[in-house]
Amino acid sequence: MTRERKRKIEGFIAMTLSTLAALLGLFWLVFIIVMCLCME
Amino acid sequence: MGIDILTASIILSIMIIPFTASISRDSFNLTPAIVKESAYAIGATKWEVVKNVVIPYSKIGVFGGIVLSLGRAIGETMAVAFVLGITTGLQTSLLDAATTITVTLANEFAEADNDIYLSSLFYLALVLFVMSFITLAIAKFFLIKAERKFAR
Repeated sequence: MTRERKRKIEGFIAMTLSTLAALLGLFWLVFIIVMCLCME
Repeated sequence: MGIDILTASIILSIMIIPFTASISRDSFNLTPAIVKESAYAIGATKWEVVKNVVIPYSKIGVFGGIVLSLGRAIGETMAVAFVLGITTGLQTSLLDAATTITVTLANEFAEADNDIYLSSLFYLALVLFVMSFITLAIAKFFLIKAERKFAR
C-alpha cells in the first residue's frame, strides 16, 4: 500500500469515527429531551 | 440502588461537556487561518490538519478549558446532592454513597445548632474556597498562556 493511500485511509477512518461520535452525542441529546418531554 | 459515587461522576461529566466543548471550540477557532491553509496547500488531508496543526496549536487552551470545567464540577451542589447519598467518611468503592463538601454544607447548615458545628461548616467552606481558587487559578494560568501564544 502506498504512503498516499495509507494517509487517505487514516483520514477517512478518523473522520468517520468523529462523525459517528458527533451523531451519537446528538442522538443522546435528542433522546434526553424527548424523554423529558414524555415524562411530563 | 444508583445512589453512589459512580452515578454522580457520570452526571457531572455530562454536565460539564458543554462548558469544555465551548472553550475548546473557541480555542480551536483561534488557530490562524493562514497556518491551516498552508497545511492544506502542501497536501495535508483534513484529519492531518486537525491532528498536526489545530490540536497542537490549541492544546493549552483546551487543557485550560478542562481544568476550568473541573473547577465548576467541584463546586456543583444540587445535582450531586440528589444522587450521591449522604454518608460521611472515606469510601473505597465507586458503588458506595458518599458526600462532598458542597453537599455537606447545603444539607447541614440549617441543622447546625451549636457553635463548634457552625464553625466546622465555615471551615469546610474555607477549604472548598481554597480548592476552587487553586483550580481556577491553574485554569486561568493556562488560558492566559494560550492567549499570549496566539497573540504572538
